[in-house]
Formats: sequence, C-alpha cells, structure tokens
Amino acid sequence: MRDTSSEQVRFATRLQARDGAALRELFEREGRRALGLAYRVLGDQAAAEDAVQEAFAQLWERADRLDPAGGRIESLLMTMVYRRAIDLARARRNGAITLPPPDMLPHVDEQAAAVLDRVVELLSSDGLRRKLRAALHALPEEQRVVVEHAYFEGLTLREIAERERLPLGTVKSRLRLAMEKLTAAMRTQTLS
Amino acid sequence: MTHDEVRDLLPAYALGALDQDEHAAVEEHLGGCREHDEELIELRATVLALGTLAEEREPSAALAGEIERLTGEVPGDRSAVAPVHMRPLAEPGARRSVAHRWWPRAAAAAAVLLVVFTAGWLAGGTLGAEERYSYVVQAPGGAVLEFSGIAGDDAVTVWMAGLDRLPPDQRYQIWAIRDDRWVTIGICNTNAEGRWRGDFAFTLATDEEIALTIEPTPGSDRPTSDPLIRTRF
Repeated sequence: MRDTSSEQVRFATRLQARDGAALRELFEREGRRALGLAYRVLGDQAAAEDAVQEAFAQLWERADRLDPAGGRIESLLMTMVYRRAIDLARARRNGAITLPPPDMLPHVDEQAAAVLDRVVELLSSDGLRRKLRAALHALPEEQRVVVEHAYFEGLTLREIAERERLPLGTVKSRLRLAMEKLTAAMRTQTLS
Repeated sequence: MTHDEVRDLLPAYALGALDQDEHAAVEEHLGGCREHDEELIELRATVLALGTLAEEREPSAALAGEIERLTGEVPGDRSAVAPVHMRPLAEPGARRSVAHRWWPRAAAAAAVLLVVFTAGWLAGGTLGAEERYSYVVQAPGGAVLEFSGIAGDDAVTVWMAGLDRLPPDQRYQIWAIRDDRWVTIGICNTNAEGRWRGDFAFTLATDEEIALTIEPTPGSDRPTSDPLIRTRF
C-alpha cells in the first residue's frame, strides 16, 4: 500500500518551495474536477474558468505559507475554487456588491479535510461519490432542494426561504435534517 | 445565542448559509465549545464531500495556458522564462538571463520620462544600461499598464492595475501595431481587485506602438473596439 500521507507531504513541500511543475501537476490532476465544481455553481464555462484560475493564482501566491503536514492540497484547492465560485455567483445575484462567503475556523477545516481523507482512503474517491450521491437521492425532495440551494448556489437560509416562499424556520429545519442524514452516511463509512 | 440555538444553526453555518450577524454569533460561541466543534468538523467534512459530486469538465487550452503563466512559464516553451518570484535579482551588467529583475514600482516611476499623449494618458519608459526596460502607461483615473523585461528578450512581463474586471464574455487584449498590422501580445482579464500580472511570449521592439482593447472572449484577430490605450515606446 502506498504511503499516501508521505506523498502528500512531499507534494505540499514542492508547492511550498514554489515548484511550478507541482502546480501544473495539480492542475492536470485536479483541473477537471475543480472546473466541474465551479461550473456546477456558476453554470457558465467562462466564469467557471475564471474561478478556477483565480483559485490557482491564490494558492500559488500563498504557496510559501502552506503547511506541508496540514492536510491534502486537493481539499484546500477545492475549498478555494468553491469559495471563489460562490463569491462570483453571489456577486451576480447582488449586482456589484458581493459578500465573500465567511471563512470557517481554520482548525475545523483542517480536521474536516482529515476526516474526508479517511473516507476516501476507505472507499476511494469514486466510492465516496457513489455513497454520497445515494444518500443525497435518498433525502426527501424538499430537503434535497434546500441543500442544493445552499451548497451549489450559495444561497443563505433567508434567500432560500424567499426563493421557495417558505417560513425561515422550515428552511432551517429541512437543512438541518438533510445535513444530519448526509453526515450520518459519511460517519457510517468511517466507522464501518 | 444559547448552546441549543447554535446546534440548530450549525448545518447552515457549515454551509456558509447564515447571514453575517448569525455567522458571527455562532463563531463566537464555537470558540469555547468542544462538543459543537466535533459536530462541526463532521458537518464540514460532508460539505467538502459535496464538492466531489460535480461532474468533471474539460478545461480550455486558454485556462491551461493561464495556469502555465502563473508559474511564469510560456505554454510550449517551458525553458523560456522562470517564475517571476523565483527570479534572483540580476547582477549588474548581466545581459541575458532568466533572472529578470522585477522593477520596484517606485524605482520604475522615478525612472520614467513622462510624455503627455493626446488621449490624456501619461506614459513613460526607460531603457537602462543593462538593456532592461520598464515602460509605464498611467491613466488619469489611476489605471496603470506596465511592460518590463530585457530588450530583445522573447518574453515580456505585463502588470495591469486599476482596470475593471471584465465579464466572462470579454477580455483585455494587448496589441503591438506594426506597419498598421495589429499583432496580439496577449489576452487577459484582471481579478476582482482590478489587477493582473503575467508573462507573454513576445519580443517587444524599442519603438513599439502598443494598444489595449476590450474584445469578445477568447480574443480577436483584429480589434473590434476603440483602444483604451494606444501609445508608442
């Protein structure tokens, strides 16, 4: 079995040393997935490519501050792509005014990435996608819609309530129930 | 905000779906609550996993080229230019090296010979003893376009600032005008802060006439709009 964590640390160290070949490798390996995520949020190839380019630029600019032992670069990259795409989507909706999605507490995201890494090691990336897609499809439609609005469109609870013409409390409880089920599905994988 | 109220909001917090004030209130509570911390880590792992559900898409060649440029390399010629930030400063008298010096903005500004152009733009440039050049075009509104490199070199570093980020269907296109023929130097877009920096594989002449236009994505064979800038070295 490959020592993936050592490989990850070596790769992060190359990026930290501003090895251009490492950034190109990352793009070759993750570019399609990153673009797919940005496109899913923005629904527009050119805008999605802008988001991916900016995320890579941001990663490259900050490469010397990377912690090689701090988790998978892929998870960090996808978080950056997602946040940039959501930022662009929100800017579109709100005109020129954009509120960047709030950052999570850094240690939380580091540990969350580690949890996700464990699931990927157990299931493989394809296996994770299959399980999660199944769990998402198993949700009642009204719960799935709320998750999709929040995740893929970057809508706030209040915006979802307005869009769906629902009381805010209803949206809040649907989102909570849906996320609890999806998280339980992930937890089952890490414990089994 | 109480412990239970925060618990109800954690999924929305993990998704970044709270308004700013609620987000701040949850964050304040989380600082000292280990139980919620653990729950939040699991929720965030789920959120990260949701990102894997999107179908992959093939990036365009233009995007691949932009990523190459980030590292300072020109597509198709990886040996030509080293990354800007990895370049050591050029030794005095160095003629040709990948160690291009990124001229400090203040130094470049001090060295420029300012010329007033009819369009109201200020422009200036310098060609030093080491044949390094830095050419700056500055607009009254604060927009700046700078070219720098080594005379005769096959790459030019461009820095733009103060130019609005264009929508996805438009790009800035930088041209050299040679015998009434418009030759593309490069195509780019500024970021949300109105800035862009990168290298283009292009050899600038010492008396180059350059122009900047806005073109439909991915760029045009000839300009389709009036130049925002048109000036000569």
